[in-house]
Amino acid sequence: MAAAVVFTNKPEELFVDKHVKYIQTLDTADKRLMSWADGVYWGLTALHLLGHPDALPRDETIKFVQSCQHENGGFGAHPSHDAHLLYTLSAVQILAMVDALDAINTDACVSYVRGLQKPSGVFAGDEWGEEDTRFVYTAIQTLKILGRLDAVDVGRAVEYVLGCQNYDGGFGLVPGAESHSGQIFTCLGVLSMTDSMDRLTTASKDQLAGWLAQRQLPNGGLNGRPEKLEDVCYSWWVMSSLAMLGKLHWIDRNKLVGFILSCQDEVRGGLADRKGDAVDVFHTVFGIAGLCLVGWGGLKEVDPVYCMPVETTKRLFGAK
Amino acid sequence: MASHGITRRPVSAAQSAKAREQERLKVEQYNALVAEVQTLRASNTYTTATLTTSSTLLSQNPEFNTIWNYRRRILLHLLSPMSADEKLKLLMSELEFLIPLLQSYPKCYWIWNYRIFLLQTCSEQLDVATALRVWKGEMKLVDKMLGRDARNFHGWGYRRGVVKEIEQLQGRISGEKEGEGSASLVEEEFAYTTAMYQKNLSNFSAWHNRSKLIPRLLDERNANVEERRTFLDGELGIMQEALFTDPYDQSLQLYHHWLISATCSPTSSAGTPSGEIVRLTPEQQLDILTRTLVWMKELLDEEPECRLLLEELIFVGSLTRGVAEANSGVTAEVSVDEVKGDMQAWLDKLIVVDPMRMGRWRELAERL
Repeated sequence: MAAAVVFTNKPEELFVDKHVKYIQTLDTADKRLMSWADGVYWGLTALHLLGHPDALPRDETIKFVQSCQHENGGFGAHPSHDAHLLYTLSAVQILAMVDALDAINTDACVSYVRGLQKPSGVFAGDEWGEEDTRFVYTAIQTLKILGRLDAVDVGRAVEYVLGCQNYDGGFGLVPGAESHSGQIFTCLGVLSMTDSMDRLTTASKDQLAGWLAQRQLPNGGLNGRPEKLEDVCYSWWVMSSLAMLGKLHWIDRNKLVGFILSCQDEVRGGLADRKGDAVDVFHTVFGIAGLCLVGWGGLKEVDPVYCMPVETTKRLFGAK
Repeated sequence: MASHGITRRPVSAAQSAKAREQERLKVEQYNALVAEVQTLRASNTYTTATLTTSSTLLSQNPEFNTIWNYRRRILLHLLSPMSADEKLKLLMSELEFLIPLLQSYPKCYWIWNYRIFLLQTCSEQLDVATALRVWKGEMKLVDKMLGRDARNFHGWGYRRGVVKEIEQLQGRISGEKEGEGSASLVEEEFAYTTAMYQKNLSNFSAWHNRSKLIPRLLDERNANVEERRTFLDGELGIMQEALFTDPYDQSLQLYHHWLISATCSPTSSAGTPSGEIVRLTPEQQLDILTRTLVWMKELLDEEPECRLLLEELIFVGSLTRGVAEANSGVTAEVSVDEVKGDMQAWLDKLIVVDPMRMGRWRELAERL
């Protein structure tokens, strides 16, 4: 990992209180944040990083997560929704952050995840079988948090991920698919969680970091692949990948900070994909997490591999 | 959930009472519909009527994955007693139902997934020739989607999946009847990437797909070394011309970078997976590298501040040095010392014209 960065706050401001308030108002009667597990994960992670971990009611959060677990061990986005790996990881991450992993049936959850691995090493998202690197990431992180990586064939999962690397150094959804920053995050995440980063050559890591650094546009924002528009969420997908490669300093931090801050709704709180657009909790968490990676003052440290506070991953896995 | 490109409403724009009432009614109707479908789902009701009800809900909210799953169960239940003709009819009407949804929500994963499920069901439940016809029909849809948005991520991924299945089905048919010709679509797909880049050079997706097709294309043509070299020369020629047209285009730079690194690296282990184009001798490598340096320097005279070009020049320069130093017996037309000096100058320039990536260039400077 790169050395910690001391960032001097420019006159621009991060409206912490407004963002906290924005996430809290998502959990009111008509909006019901507590009715989709991924939404709760995004909101809760943002609150933890903002230094307000208790802004959502802990008991209600745990009860909601428990209610989403199915008999097959997987979790749905809501109690009335089918189980899926995406929401299974969200559920486990939420419980990890509020330190309540014992609130669910771990064995059932592990067996659900194990049942979704295919002979190629990839994981399907659910029983209907959509397979790609996003689900390798979600499966591996779920098991890593639960301390049960031994339940699946990690070696094959790593081989599958390596087979998704392209000529530009990046990774795609499946072998043959074009590189995309979101998939680069998930693939580097899998390699990091399984201590397999050394499977990439120095040359290919450098090429990948160079590709990622090219994602910064003259306005400071980052895009997800060549010739696309900037978007706040890539402040996470691109920067976390650069962090895993130890190359955060390959982009212009000040310009990125300026871009992220310009995407805030300074009246009602929250962040949008771009300046002036409608805010949502997804862009709010990834904008804030991006600021954490460049060391914006007053925020908690974020773990680039897990997208959770370092406080949480330290508690789970010990100091790195 | 995540919204993209939707303009923020000003705080002062208070909704009229009428608009609020309409909004409330809409939410109420939607919630009632969700409750109805969930009740049917909970009671395992699998009928033509429930298929219709779920259509109404999914048209309003195609992100509702659980309801797509319910629809899968309904469909499999309805298909099981049907004759082949009835099955085809139902599956085709399902494919039809998705068209307007895909047009409105081209980036919604769940709709694409359901469509792939339908097509796979065709492969499983219909005879091979019929299934092949249905899958081939998909190519028209993909052409249309990529015609509208040539960089649609899902569109390209979907195209590769459809091509793969058509090849498999054609393989099954030609396996049954000897001498039916090749099942491979690699020539057609390669020609498609040509057509796409000729429409617009700046298409990273098309160049990416081309890079994936080339090793297979050359293998299937049984190309010998000479033919492979000619092919490589052709691709490099296209790139030279294209980069003179737009030296600031990243997709062109990346593709060119791949062609050079896959064929002209001093060692065979260049790092990233490259696929096999051709194995060149050090003399042949140096010949390509020298020619490349010449035209790139010409281009630099015209575009002295182009950071992508400077970066690529440094890369080509480092390969030239690498190959020359690893093969001291080979006489190169360029002097290694001269290349070294040039590289330093390009790097100095890069630090000036690309301050955003200063950290990267400083690191490179230490290594040079």
